Amino acid sequence: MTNCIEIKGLVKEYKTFTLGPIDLQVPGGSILGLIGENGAGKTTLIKSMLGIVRPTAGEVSLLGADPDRAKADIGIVLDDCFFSEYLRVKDVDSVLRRVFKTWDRELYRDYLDKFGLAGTKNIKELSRGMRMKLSLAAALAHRPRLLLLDEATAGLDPVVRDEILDEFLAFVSDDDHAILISSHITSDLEKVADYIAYLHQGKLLLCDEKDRLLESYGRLVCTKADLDQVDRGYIVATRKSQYSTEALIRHRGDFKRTYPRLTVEPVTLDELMVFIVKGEQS
Amino acid sequence: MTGLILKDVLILRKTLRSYLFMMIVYAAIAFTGVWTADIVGVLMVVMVMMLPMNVFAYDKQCQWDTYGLALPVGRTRTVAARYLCVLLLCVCSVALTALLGAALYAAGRVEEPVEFMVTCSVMGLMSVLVNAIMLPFLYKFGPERARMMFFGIMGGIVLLIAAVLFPLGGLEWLKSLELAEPTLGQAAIVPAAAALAGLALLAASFLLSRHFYGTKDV
Repeated sequence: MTNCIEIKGLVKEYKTFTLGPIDLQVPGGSILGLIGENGAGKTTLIKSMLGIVRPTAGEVSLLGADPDRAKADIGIVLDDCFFSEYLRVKDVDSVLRRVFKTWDRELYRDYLDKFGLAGTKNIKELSRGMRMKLSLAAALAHRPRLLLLDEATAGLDPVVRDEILDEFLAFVSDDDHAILISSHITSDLEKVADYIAYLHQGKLLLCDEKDRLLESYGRLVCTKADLDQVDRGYIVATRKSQYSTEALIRHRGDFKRTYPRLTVEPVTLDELMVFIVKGEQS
Repeated sequence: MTGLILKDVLILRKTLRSYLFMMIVYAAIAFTGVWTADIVGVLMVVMVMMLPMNVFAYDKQCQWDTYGLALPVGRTRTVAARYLCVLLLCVCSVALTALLGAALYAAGRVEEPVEFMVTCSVMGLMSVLVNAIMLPFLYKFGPERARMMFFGIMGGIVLLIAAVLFPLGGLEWLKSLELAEPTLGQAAIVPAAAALAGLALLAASFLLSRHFYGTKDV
């Protein structure tokens, strides 16, 4: 299986923020979920990958080629609709079919029908959710091989989100296709992502298979006395309140065998993020 | 590239319709004899000056720049598309002004057709010149800051011209030249020269804008 995304030592420096160095690979046929708090560098990473902002250092290869050459095969959705309010839904077709050689008008119309978007509607009249659907239709209608999605499911109701996630799963059924999706809705990523990358203050803290991450980490709820007896090598971070003590535990299976008396629950991506950002690092 | 030009025209669609309406209204006022036909040319310059600023502002509003750079077009062709769109707007505006001028002439409201043709050409050149100055500013600083800077520069130029014409006696000097009325043949050179000068100005401006946009993080 070839990698659809290969990033080596990517760095983007600003006066007050530095992204990277980032090393990342996304194999074909898979979805990478990019998580991280606001301002962690998720959008900067996507922009750097496409050359929208110029990386300070590093190499990016998309679909086995230089990003500029690969752009014809990339679909992008940002956190808001990037089509002017002064356009109509059908104008997007008129514009983009002159930009993408592989633009499929029929497919675009199919997506509009599927998403309940009327071609004659002004974009100004669309709700945020409908605008995101329009952006997705535009990103998919030139039959891309790689989708870069920045908060693409934000503002959508659960039913539509579910439909769109199914669309993503169908998209990566082809081993030649891949998706990088950044999202704060970690439940979506838990549903569809094969890999999770966690960006925190510009640094890649975690990048692994989602299942392995969720199996490997656990949440320990215990008393302070119990926690003091735990081998520090298991503890990633702790959170203490007046009534309880919680810890993010690594090597959950081993931990359970070593401390059968203590209860370790599976951890969600949200909890993983909160522990790492707000917990006391061990 | 044609897709990007079309996008610009489509987002200006409503504005263009209202500008067309205003030009027809002003032509109608010129027809009544309240103003001379030259007012249509002046209006054209003002309108063509505003249109690219509007496009940049609309693009910024919806983050088109970010998306545009993710398209398989490239930075140079993106800038080239904007310049071709501006050129198209200038040519169409001059053609419309000439058409309205011809209609006013046919109605007997243009006494000096040669003078109107020269005025129309100079106004066309002015509209190109204004855009040639403004576009690199828009690429470098974005629509809000560029607008302020541009009006500052234009205000400075107007003050300079006024100072040369009045306190420094430039107007008196011009009157003392006693230039003869140009013949139709001589006047016909003006549109051709204006078109060539306009193209040269836009080409130089394009190189500057391409440089700014080529190194810009969006």
